[in-house]
Amino acid sequence: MKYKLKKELKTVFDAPAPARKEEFINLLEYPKANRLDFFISQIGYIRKRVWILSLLLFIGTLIGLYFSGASYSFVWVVSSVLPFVSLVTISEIARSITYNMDELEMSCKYNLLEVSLIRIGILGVVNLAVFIGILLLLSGKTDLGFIRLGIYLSTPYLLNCYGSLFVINRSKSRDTVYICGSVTALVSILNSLISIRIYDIYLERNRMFWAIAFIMFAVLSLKEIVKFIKRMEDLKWNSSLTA
Amino acid sequence: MELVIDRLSKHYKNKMAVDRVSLTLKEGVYGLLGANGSGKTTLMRMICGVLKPTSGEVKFNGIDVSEEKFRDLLGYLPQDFGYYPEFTAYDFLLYLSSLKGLTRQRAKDRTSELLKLVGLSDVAKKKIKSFSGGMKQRLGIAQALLNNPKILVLDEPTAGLDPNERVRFRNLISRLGKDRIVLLSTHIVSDVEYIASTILLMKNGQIIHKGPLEEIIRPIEGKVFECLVDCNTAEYLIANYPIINVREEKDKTFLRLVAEKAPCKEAKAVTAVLEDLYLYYFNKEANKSEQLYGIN
Repeated sequence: MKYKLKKELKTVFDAPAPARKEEFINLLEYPKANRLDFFISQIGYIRKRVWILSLLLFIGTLIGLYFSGASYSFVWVVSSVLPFVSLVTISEIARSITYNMDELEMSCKYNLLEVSLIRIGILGVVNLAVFIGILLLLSGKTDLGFIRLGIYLSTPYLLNCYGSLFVINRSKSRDTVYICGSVTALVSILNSLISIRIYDIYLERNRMFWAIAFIMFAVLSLKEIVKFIKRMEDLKWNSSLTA
Repeated sequence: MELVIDRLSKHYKNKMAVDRVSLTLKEGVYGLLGANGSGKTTLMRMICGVLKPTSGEVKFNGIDVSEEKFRDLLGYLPQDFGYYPEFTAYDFLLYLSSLKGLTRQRAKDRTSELLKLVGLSDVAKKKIKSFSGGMKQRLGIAQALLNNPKILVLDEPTAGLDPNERVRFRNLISRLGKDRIVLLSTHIVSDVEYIASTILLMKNGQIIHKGPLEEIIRPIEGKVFECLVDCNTAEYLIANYPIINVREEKDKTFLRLVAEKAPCKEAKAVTAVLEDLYLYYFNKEANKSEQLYGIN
């Protein structure tokens, strides 16, 4: 009966327009996403090219190993390609500044610093996974050993990380990524030239040279990463904004 | 609801961009009016926590500008903003929703609502790079509203909008000012005149006047004159009085100017408007530019 009455009433009377609907909606507290949700959402915003290049490099290494075996020349080819992975990673981290999104991102709840840290974290893990994968594939096929091979492959990568971050931390231009691209090309060519010209570069007697270069570039890269994070934290880059 | 700005300053190497600005803002629309380079953008950036002040502080209900809680209550439209090239309007709003801490479902709902509000529903799936300046500006306004902010800071929100769009946004901003603090900067005087409950006039990094329209134009009330004069009188008046408007009419010149008393017998006192006050205060700069570009 009640249902029938309600139905009848609806047909007889028009419902009044809601009064102060917007004000009421504004009072409602909507549930907010937590930090984990935010972290997961950011994975989706990493560009496809990062995943594609990482996958291509891994597949390329597999194909190369199948056809040519793990020679010294194959090691320098892989080590000359790895800096391009770091270039894609760094361009992803510096993307906010490149595309002038930095000011908007800085004003958000999860600001530019947090976005940058999450990008560094996700991409660092991806790069490490690709690197370890390649290392595992190659180390079983050569007599270089896991650590030595790791140093040979990672030193040009670290040099590029240092060079590119050095540029990003000091440049105020939004075209920094192009300069980083030039740095990467230079590192890759230099690595190829050294490996071709000095054919005993991977021999046991040069291990001190490699160890020193590896430690030096690792420390310098780390310093530049810290500087990059501090730059976001201290808002020092703001001096580049117009008054 | 109270936004307190206390002795806020920004000092660059050889320039004081903002000089000890102190304000207390409550619900309503505040129009920040000033010439280019007067410090409007710098002040707004500091209020949004995007720029670190040299000294002073900004607090909203006791929450400092550097805190996450403050940013959670903030909506900001910068004067110039970019976008990732692969983004559509929908992606752009979803991305910024994630940064503003909205849940996925809420972000989708809010994005659709706001795209409708700013009239971009039809092009929601189109790349932003294909948008006109006005469309980008509308998208910028939509992103500022994603988190239903309590403090809304809009730097030149009507720049690039056509007259119809400007009127729509003026109405929207007026509505928004009912239950939040809206601070907007512009040098389009009519925008401020129509929507701002309080006008802040900024010059050389300082707030030189603040108050409602009636109060702010009081200093030049009864001092604005219009006259139609011959060429020689016009030259004399232009050289000696702050000129608001000049128009050539056949063999005579029409002038609108500011003077303590009638500057010539043809002059008639007229009602002062905000544009008169603005041009009066920024007249020196305008004259300097004219000299610089050789305009006489």
